[in-house]
This record gives sequence, structure tokens and C-alpha cells, in this order.
Amino acid sequence: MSYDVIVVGGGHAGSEAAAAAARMGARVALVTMHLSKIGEMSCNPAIGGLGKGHLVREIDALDGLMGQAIDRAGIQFRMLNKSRGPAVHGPRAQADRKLYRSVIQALLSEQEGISFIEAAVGDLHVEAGECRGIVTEAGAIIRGGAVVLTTGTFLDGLIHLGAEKTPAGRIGESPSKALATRLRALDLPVGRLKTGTPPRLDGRTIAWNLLEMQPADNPPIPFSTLTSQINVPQIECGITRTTAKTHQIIAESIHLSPVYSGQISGQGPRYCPSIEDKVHRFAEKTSHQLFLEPEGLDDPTVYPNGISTSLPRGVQDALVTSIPGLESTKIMQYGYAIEYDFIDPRALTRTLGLRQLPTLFLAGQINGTTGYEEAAAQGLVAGVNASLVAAGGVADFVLDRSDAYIGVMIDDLTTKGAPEPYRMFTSRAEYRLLLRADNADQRLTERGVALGCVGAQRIAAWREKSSRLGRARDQLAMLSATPKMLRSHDLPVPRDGAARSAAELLSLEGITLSRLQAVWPDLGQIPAQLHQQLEADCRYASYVQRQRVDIDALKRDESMKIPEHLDFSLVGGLSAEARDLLTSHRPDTIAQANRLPGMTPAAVLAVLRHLKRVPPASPNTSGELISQLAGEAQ
Amino acid sequence: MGSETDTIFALATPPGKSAIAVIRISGDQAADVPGALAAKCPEPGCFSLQTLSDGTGAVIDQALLLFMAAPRSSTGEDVVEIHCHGGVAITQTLLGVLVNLSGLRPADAGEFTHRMFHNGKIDLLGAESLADIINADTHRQLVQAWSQMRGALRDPVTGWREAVIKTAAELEAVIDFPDEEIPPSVVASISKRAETLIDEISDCLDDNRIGEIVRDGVQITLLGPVNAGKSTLLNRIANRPVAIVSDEAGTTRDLVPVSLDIGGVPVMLTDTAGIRQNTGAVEAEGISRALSAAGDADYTIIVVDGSRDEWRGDYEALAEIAGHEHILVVNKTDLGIVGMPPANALLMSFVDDCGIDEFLDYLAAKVVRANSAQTSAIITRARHRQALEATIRGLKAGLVLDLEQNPELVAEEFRLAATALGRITGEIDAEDLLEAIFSSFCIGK
Ligand SMILES: Cc1cc2nc3c(=O)[nH]c(=O)nc-3n(C[C@H](O)[C@H](O)[C@H](O)COP(=O)(O)OP(=O)(O)OC[C@H]3O[C@@H](n4cnc5c(N)ncnc54)[C@H](O)[C@@H]3O)c2cc1C
Ligand SMILES: Nc1nc2c(ncn2[C@@H]2O[C@H](COP(=O)(O)OP(=O)(O)OP(=O)(O)O)[C@@H](O)[C@H]2O)c(=O)[nH]1
Ligand SMILES: [Mg+2]
Repeated sequence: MSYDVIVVGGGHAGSEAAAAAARMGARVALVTMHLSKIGEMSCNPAIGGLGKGHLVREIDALDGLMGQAIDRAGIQFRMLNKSRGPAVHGPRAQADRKLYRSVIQALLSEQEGISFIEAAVGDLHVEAGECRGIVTEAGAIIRGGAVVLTTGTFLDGLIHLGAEKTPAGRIGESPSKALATRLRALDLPVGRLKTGTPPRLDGRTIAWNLLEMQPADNPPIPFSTLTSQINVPQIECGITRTTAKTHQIIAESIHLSPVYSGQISGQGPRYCPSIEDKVHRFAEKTSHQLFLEPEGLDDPTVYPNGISTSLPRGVQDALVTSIPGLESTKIMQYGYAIEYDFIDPRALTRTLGLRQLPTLFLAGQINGTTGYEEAAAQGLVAGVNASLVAAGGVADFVLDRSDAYIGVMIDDLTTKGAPEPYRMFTSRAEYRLLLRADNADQRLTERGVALGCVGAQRIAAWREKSSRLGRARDQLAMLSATPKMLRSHDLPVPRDGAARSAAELLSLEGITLSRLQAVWPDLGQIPAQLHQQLEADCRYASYVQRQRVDIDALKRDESMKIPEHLDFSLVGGLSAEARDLLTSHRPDTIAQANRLPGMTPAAVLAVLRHLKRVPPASPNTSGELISQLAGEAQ
Repeated sequence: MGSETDTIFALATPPGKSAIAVIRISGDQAADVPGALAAKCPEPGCFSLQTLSDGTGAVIDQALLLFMAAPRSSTGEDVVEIHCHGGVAITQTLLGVLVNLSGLRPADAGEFTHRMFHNGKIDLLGAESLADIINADTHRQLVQAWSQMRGALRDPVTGWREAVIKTAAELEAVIDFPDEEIPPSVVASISKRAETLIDEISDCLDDNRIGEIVRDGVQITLLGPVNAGKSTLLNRIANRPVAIVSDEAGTTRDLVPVSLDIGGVPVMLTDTAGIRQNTGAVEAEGISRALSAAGDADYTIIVVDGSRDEWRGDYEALAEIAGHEHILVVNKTDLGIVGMPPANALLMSFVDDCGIDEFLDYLAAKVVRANSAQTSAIITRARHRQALEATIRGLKAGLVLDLEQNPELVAEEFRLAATALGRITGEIDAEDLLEAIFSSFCIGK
């Protein structure tokens, strides 16, 4: 039996990849070590946050699983930055770990076209220089038109707990050794990264009554546009802090940490430091906050967010009990660090296909990212592109930096690599005011429909919403009133005599759609769910217009493709370093070349000039200035 | 335009006869050139005296050869310089040999500078300064160009940009880590820092445009009725008889420009035809040129004959044409002045030799305006000024907004500010922001 797309790994990347390829109509095999672990959250049981929440909304806009899954498994929904502008709202929810896994498994089995195969993959099946399937460790060949590898932290994974070293993909699961060896032999740029997880606590031994508690939002705001309301019961989290004693314990035993003893060489994420890192690097801070997050509704396990550690067991015991509220708390599973192989994502194009083996796609932690959302988003892109090549077409599903956070992430990865585990932040997106969590569907769903990765239910819901938005926008643009009239309704408008449209009014501080209903009762017809979206569009209109100018410039560059086989030694005026950089990274476009670290504007210009074969003509570029100057200097 | 990979060459000294002439060659094949002249390429970084001959073995010259190997050369490529005797036949013959070598071609205008920039030897400010150094006519221009080359603007701009990025980074931390404990002092320090930056950059902008004036020079036009003494004044300032002086009304017909160095500032002073009605075609054309020269000038010196009844009316009419930046000279005080001169008038007589030194001092002060800026940063081009103004606009727009409620908009304005600064020398990257975030805060999980 042969498949169109074979997905290796049933984590977050693998689940989305398999589902997306199947939505595209491909016959998919999802091959993973344990079918029961599909959708497992390896670390903290939470989805979303700043930047990550944006990714989930984008996955949802393309009809992916993650948004729907967390809506059915979330036990504490919170909108981060709620008091701030809508562009930086970060939807986040804690998950019931077991529930999340089972929802993902249910969604996957509802999806037509996926076969589930329990096996460890040990090799790629390469025919005539093209990857056309996989070989299991048991020796079975499974053929397919394209393969997506999403093996997470499993490639040659090595767990560190104090001085103990255990080969593992995550706690209690075997690593993927044979495949790691095979990938190294393929001459791919393989590197090593590390990450860590905190100990899990027995919630029955925590003095909750002594702790400050943080409630969920009421009402909870769903991730998916297909969810009308959250039906999972909502819980509270506890908040506590490390003490002087905690810090003393850590300082005294830091030499026992595998990172500090030199046992781990892989680079860890700076923004997700272990508690020993925090105490060591920020010695002036005498206390760190931690959140105590229950892992499920019927699960006593508690995830202490903020004290990731790989110190020896005894030190972990002492460390935990030095924290207020945890004095008699028992550890159910010790924290640990894990080191694993990743493939330098600069070996990929923005389709997530390997340059070297175009029918082999990589997604998730294997590309040097960290986090479920980052993994899932890549899985979706890789799944779509794999289905395109398997069907004999071209993999050309590429999102730009101005389209989506997904585009920002993949562009960052493929141009800059992952010198440390890559996590999404809103500050990575230069068009943040445009790429909002609230408008992900407007940015992406139509695109997904055209591709064929959006199902009928979402198409209907989106078309309905879209026409309502269109009508509301027309209405807002047409209605207008003078300051005098508006002030008679107590609206804070400047007394400048200028009549303003309802849309213009919404860009002013303190004016909302519901307040405008006092002036124009007709606006009451606009459904409440659309309010925030419309208000945000108006609020940012002038900024977005300014950014459009940049985006157009970017697109012009973006459209300037660098031929795949361009010999950079023929490009004049390139320093040896720039030439090496370009030759090893092979950027697809001028814009990508521009973002390569170590690339000088001069070198980019040289490539641009080479491609155009004419002296630079556009005004205000430094090239133009240099030409003028050179003229002056003669 | 030839290929960018060719080896290029050019005569680096002016054509004609001179003690020595220098031919510069840059590119991959530069080191082969001495061989083609029956000489040996010196070791990198060394000079050597060599006899150069053409293909037939005939000696062309004895010359010093210098070799600088890439990347440690002015262009970043292999560079060979031939310092030969500055004879026309020598340079022509050498250039003739070079042009026939395959892979070599004469350089295009500015191509050496292009290559310097492309190979990262200089940034935009460096390229600008290099042009200014070469073009400097006065000592002051040269001093200014060199200080620009050595970082007079680059250093403060780099510092400001780092400060803007740091400020933006703190803001990004507030946005991206809402559950983290960002000290409240951080929010206060963000506005504080932005305000300090605005002050510093404004101070740098408040320089009376002195850097641009020194670089660009000043255009001054003499304007006045016929026989007022304009040409007399021009000759006096120039210290030589440049223009014809006579008591015949309408002596000067054309524009008569002279270049001067006033306190280090290059000044182009232009004498013009006297203004009067009802003239012949040639003089009418002269008058129209005079008026348009006055329109283009940075300053206009209006000269009137104070002994004539009509001088006031003449002055008022001309002042309207000259606009705000004019200097009034009431001449011929030796003949007695009709009426009371206005307070801004400079009185003068060439017969009594009075008022002239005072006028020259006044003119010098006007041209070489003091730099009121406290900083030593110098703005030498309009694009620097525009970028700094855009920076201030961005910072101010950010400060008007509420930091707690709309940090994303403040961040957007600061981003524009940083980009504007980055345009003066390079570009800004989101990675810079993150770098700054992580090095300054403890960000937990
Ligand atoms: C200890 C630890 C700490 C972490 N800490 C953080 C954190 O602080 N912050 C954060 O955002 N994220 C953290 N994560 C990362 C997060 O869990 C991952 O980013 C995310 O799960 C990656 O998704 P993935 O789909 O790429 O891989 P995974 O979720 O790891 O899934 C990989 C899947 O592939 C399967 N597989 C692997 N090899 C083979 C093979 N050869 N054959 C068949 N199947 C195979 C596995 O069985 C598994 O199902 C941590 C993970 C671990 C293990
Ligand atoms: N008495 C007196 N005569 C002066 C003085 N300055 C200039 N003159 C004379 O005035 C006459 C006109 O001088 P110019 O300098 O040619 O005047 P101009 O303004 O250039 O005249 P046009 O070129 O015809 O417009 C000459 O004969 C000068 O010698 C002065 O201060 N006093
Ligand atoms: Mg004259």
C-alpha cells in the first residue's frame, strides 16, 4: 500500500501536518511510536500566550486542529494584555493534559484519509535520489509521495537529571537513535539544543489556602472561530514565590546542575531559563514568581510554571519545600533537561521542504523551535506543501512576513537558523498592528479556501462572517456626524467642527461601537462578536496604512527572486564573507538575503544590482546615494 | 557599464604633465599587471622600484609599484598602484598596455568608491565624507569632512539608535511578558529616556545649519539700481578688479561671480546688472538674470545710492524681491544721505573709505553663523537632518500616547524613530530588540 504523504511523529507538528494533508485530499499515513501518545503535551499544559496565541488563531483560520482542541480541553482561559491594544492581546489557556490529547486524537480520527501506524521510524526510503517513504526500525518500508518528519525532541534525545544521563525522547519514552544516525549520514546540518521542564507536584500536598489565586476570565474567549462557547469547567491557579532560602539552596548546589558542570553543551532557550539559570544570571533578584497550574480537572498533578530545573533529586526536594505553600509538597516526577538533535532550518526553503531532498519536509522542534504552537503551525504548512508535491504539483504554500506570524517564524528560521530554541514573540513581527489575533481569519481563510485546506463547515461560517463584516464596514463608512451632535450624546470628540464618519470616530480613544449605538441605533444590528474586530481595524487604520507602504516595498523586493543556481562568485562587489554567506544559505529572494545575519546592506545591493543588471534607479536607496557621491568624488 | 567582476584601472592623478602620476588598478587581476609590464608584483604592503617595458621590450618608465592584497586595501580587492613619472606619453602608453589586457577595463565614474562601499570598507557616512574630503575647497571644509569621516555624526547616531532600541526593547518586554514582573520603574524610565533623546537630538539639530553651510557654501547676490556702487563693492570684497566700474549707468550687464573664502565658508558672490526701467534688449536680459540670481541666493545685498532722492523707494521695491534674508547697504555717504536711513542699514562710502570694514565683519558673522548646538555632532547633509527630524517626530508621537494602555502604538512610533536613525548608517532588525530584552531582564517561564 502506498500513501501520498507520510507523517512521522504524532506530536503537535505531526498532528497538524497529517490533518492538513488529509484536508487537502491526500491519503496520509501517520507513523508514530505510540498511538496513545498522539497529541501529548511534553511540558507545560498550556496553549497560547503572546505571539503563540496569534499562531493558534492562524492555524484555526486555515482550519487546523489546535484552536478547536484547546477550546474543548482548556481549563483556564485568560486573555493576556487585555487592558492593552488589540494587536497585543494574547489568548492563552491551560489545558487538561489528558483531555487535550484525547480531543486531538478524536479530531484526527474524525478526519477522513488518515491511517495510523504504530512504529518507530529508523530510516528514509530514498529512490533515485528522492525521498519516497520511510523504513521502520523493524525493517518495513512504507512508501509515499512525500514525507514530513516531526520527531520533536526525540532525535538522539538525552535526559539529564543531576549527574544521571538517560537516553530518552521525553520522560519514559525511548529516543529515536537510528533515524538520528541516518540524518547525520545524509550530510544535513545537524546541531544540538536543549530544553528543560520543572518537577511535577502533588496538588494534594499544596497549602492552596495560603496562596494568592488567579481566576480564569469570565466569560472565557475561545480560540477557534468555530467555537461559540467554552463548556469545560474553569479552575484557578495559585501564585507563590521563591525565597532567600530557595536561592541559597540553588547557589550551593549549582555545580551539580548538568548545564553548569559542563555535561550539557546544547544551547537552551534564554526566555525559558531554568531556575538555576535565573538565580545565577540575575543574582540581584532575590525572589522569582511561580504559577501553580493544575494539569487537569481530575488530576492531582500540578505544574509549577517558573522553576524548570535539572538539579539532582535531593536538591529539587529541598528547593520545592523552601517555597511558601509548598512546605510539605511531594514531587510526583522530577524536573529534567533534555538535549536533542535538530536540523539547521536554513537547509529548508520557506515551504519547509529540504533543499537537498525536495520531497522531504521537516516541521516542529526538529527545526530548532520550541513550543506546541510553533510546532503545530509548521506542521500545517509542511502538511499542505507535502500534499501538493505528492499530487505532482509544486510546493508553493508560502506565507510572507506581512501575511502572518507563521510567515514571520518560517522566514526567521530559514534565514537566521536557530542559534537557540526559537519561540514566537509579537516583537518579532514588524507588522504587528496588522497581524492581529482578532483578524487571522480575514488574513488567511480565503487563502486556505483557495488552496483547498479548509473544510465545508468553516467555509460556510467564514463566508457568513465575512459578508457581515463587509456590511458593517460599509455602514461605518457611510454614517457621519458633526462634533456638536456627537457631544450631545456625551461622546469625547474634538470641537473642531469637522464631521466624522463612524469609522473615523472609532479611531479615537474612548469611543466604542456600543457607545456609537446611542447616536445611530442601526449599528445595533452589528453582532457583538464583530465589535472588537471592527474597532481594532479603525483604531489602527492610520498606522496600518503607513505599514502598507513598507509592505509594498518589501513585496517588491520579495518578488525579486534570486535564481536557484546563481553563482555568487559572478556577482561583483561581494566580499568573500558575503559570498560565502549567500552560497551557504542560498536565500530565495532579495528580501531574505537582506535578513541574513551578517549581511551588509552593501552586499544586498550588489546582488540586487547584479539581478537588475542596471545601475540602481529607485530614489532614496543608499545605492542611489552612493552613485551620486561617487559622481561627486570624481 | 561593464561587469562588476572586471579588474578596473584609472589614472588617479589629473591628466597632463606633472612630477609623478599614479595609475590605480583594482580587482582579481591587479597583481598580474606588473608582469604584463615586464616587472614583478611587489609583496603585499610593499613598494618596489621597477623598470616598466612594453610588449616589444622598449622601456616605458622607471616607477614605484605598490601592491595591497585583498581584503586589506582601499577597495577591499587586490590593488596595485603604479607611481610613474607624470609625462603624457608615459601615462598614455601605460594605459594603452592596460586596456589591451583581457579582463581589464577603464573604471567608470566613481567605481572605486562603489567597490569600497560594496566591500564594506566604508558606510554611507564614510562614503559621503570621502566625497567631501576630495571636494573640500577651504580648510574648514576639509576639517569638517575629516571629522565626519571619523565619526562626528556616526558616533552619536549609533548611540542614539542603541538608546532607542533599548527603550523599544523595554517596551517589548512589557508587551510580550505580561505575566512577568517588569519593575514599574521601567515604565517611567521609558518616557524619561525618550525625553532625553528628544533633547539631545533637538540640540544637535539646533545648529544654525552650520555643517551644511560649510559643506554646501553660500550664494550671495548683489542687487541694486544702476550706479549704486555694486561693482565697486564686489571689487573691494574680492580685493581685485573683477568687474568694470564706471559712472555710466548700466555698466554691468551680465552676472559676474567670484569665489571667496569667508571664515572657511566657500562663498559665491555675484555682481549683477543695475535695475532700471526702459532699457534696451541686452540690458533687460541682464536685469532679468539679476532678479533670478537674487531669487536663488541664500542672501542678497541690496546696494543703493543714498545721495539720490529715490533710494528709499528703490530699496523697498528690491527688498520685496530679495525677501527676508537681505542686507541693506546705503552707499555714497560722502555725498550726503537723503532722509533717515532705516535701523538695519549699513552706511558706506568708498570715497571716504568708511563703513567697509564694519560691513565685512557683519557679512562674515552672517555667513559663518555660530553653532549654537551643545553637541559636537555635525549634520552635513539635508538627509541627515530629515532623518533626525523623523526620529524626533517618532519619539514625540510615542510620548503622547499612553504607555500602559497602548504600548503597541508607542512601540510602533519608536520603531519608526529607530529606523530613521538606522537609515543614516545601516538598518534595524527585530533581533536587536530581543537581544536587548534578554540581556537586561530576567524573563521566566
Ligand atoms: C523536557 C521538555 C521541556 C520542554 N519545555 C518547553 C518549554 O519550556 N516551553 C515550550 O514552549 N516548549 C517546551 N517543550 C517543547 C514542546 O514540548 C515541544 O516544542 C513540542 O511538543 C514540539 O512538538 P513536535 O510536534 O515538534 O514534537 P513532539 O511533541 O516532541 O512530538 C514528537 C513525536 O514524534 C514521535 N517520534 C519521534 N521520533 C520518532 C520516530 N523515529 N518514529 C516514530 N515516531 C517518532 C514521538 O513519539 C512524538 O509523538 C519541552 C519539551 C520537553 C520534552
Ligand atoms: N561718491 C561716491 N561715488 C562712488 C562710491 N562708490 C562708487 N562710486 C562711484 O559710482 C559709480 C558707479 O559705480 P559702480 O560700482 O560701477 O556702480 P554699479 O552699481 O555697479 O552700476 P551698474 O553696473 O551700472 O549697475 C562709479 O563712478 C563709482 O566710482 C562712493 O562711495 N561715493
Ligand atoms: Mg556694475
